[in-house]
Amino acid sequence: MARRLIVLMTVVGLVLTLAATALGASVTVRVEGKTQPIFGSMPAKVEAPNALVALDVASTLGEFYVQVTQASFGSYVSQIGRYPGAGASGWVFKVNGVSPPVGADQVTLKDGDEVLWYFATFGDAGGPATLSLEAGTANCYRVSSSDDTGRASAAAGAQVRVDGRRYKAGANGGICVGKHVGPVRAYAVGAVRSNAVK
Amino acid sequence: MIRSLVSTLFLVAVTVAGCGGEGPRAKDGTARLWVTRDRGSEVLVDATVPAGQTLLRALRSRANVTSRYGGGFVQSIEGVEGSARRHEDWFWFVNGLSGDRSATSYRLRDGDVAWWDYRDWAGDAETLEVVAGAFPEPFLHGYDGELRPAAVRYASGLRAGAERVADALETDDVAPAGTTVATNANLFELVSGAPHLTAGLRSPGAGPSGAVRFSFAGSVDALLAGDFERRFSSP
Repeated sequence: MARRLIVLMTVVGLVLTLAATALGASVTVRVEGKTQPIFGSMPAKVEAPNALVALDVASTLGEFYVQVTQASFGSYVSQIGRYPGAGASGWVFKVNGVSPPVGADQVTLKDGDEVLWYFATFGDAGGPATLSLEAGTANCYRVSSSDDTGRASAAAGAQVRVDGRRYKAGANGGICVGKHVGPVRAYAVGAVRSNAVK
Repeated sequence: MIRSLVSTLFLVAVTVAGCGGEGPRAKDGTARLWVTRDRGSEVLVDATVPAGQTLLRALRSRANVTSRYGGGFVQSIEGVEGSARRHEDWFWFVNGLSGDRSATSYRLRDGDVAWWDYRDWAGDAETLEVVAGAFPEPFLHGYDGELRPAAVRYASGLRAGAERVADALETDDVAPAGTTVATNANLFELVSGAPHLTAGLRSPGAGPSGAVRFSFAGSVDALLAGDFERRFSSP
């Protein structure tokens, strides 16, 4: 009896492990295109074991094109939506604001991770900063800016847009925009636009 | 073996000395450090700190600080937490000018007044660029070591007070209101009317390297005695 129970528990454990591997973690995915947002401006949840699958699931939900190319060093995302990567520009990703040093299929996700895919042009100082928008009360928002290592700072002077109006964020990245109907989003020269907040 | 130990020790010594180079040195002089709440109304820290170090390092030497996002954003000082939800945050000013960068990248200079203030920013996050309470700064030490010429202009009958203000600001450019002011100069206007002290940028939006305009009416004695210290504006 005890032996059967152990076998049963082992089998259940194995199944759970396999299920977890197949479904992966519950994460959010956002895809920022070269000229406009592509997917998940407001957090979109998907189940995925790694950052590449997360993009694939998003492409199904959002019905946008993704091309993965096999190269000698592994597979990489060569195109999302209309624009392929070329020269110093290409499609890259971050998990929780940090650019992992490995390929997207090598990054194991855990519940709650935030995956961001974006079109980037690389310069001497690395890739572009990515903006993030946080909502407060009273129609106030705060914008932060992260570099490739995930090191972030207040996005002082970032442009915040809502309902066709434009505002400039203060020294702490903060701005109050008053009553609005549409989503709020932040932009800055040389940085990847932020998520949207309603 | 001993030789390799010696070279290891030597390396360690060099490394430690190298780290020391990051810190303040006596010849860099000193700066003032203020930590306040609610537009200067409550003072948490008032100290003299060595210059030559970053604003954040100076702050950490005198207060408990936590930062977010890998250090670039000060989250709490002495347990007082910033919050996007409540739209309250820590802001810093050097010589009264609102900072334009992370506090990890502003290096204090001799005579600077480094001022951290915690406030509700709902009404003025983007418009509050200069505060008056570091007077006579930024006239004497500017921002990031960049000094501007200073000009004092006075309304009819206020010449004597204006001369005294000009002495405090170490400038000879004192003239009646209406006299041309160089576009790059920091301007102090002594006016008549209801007592007040206000400060702003001559070109709003220019950032902390822009020229300032102070407007003052009231007792020059009180102003020079420091009665407006650590106040954003008055009334």
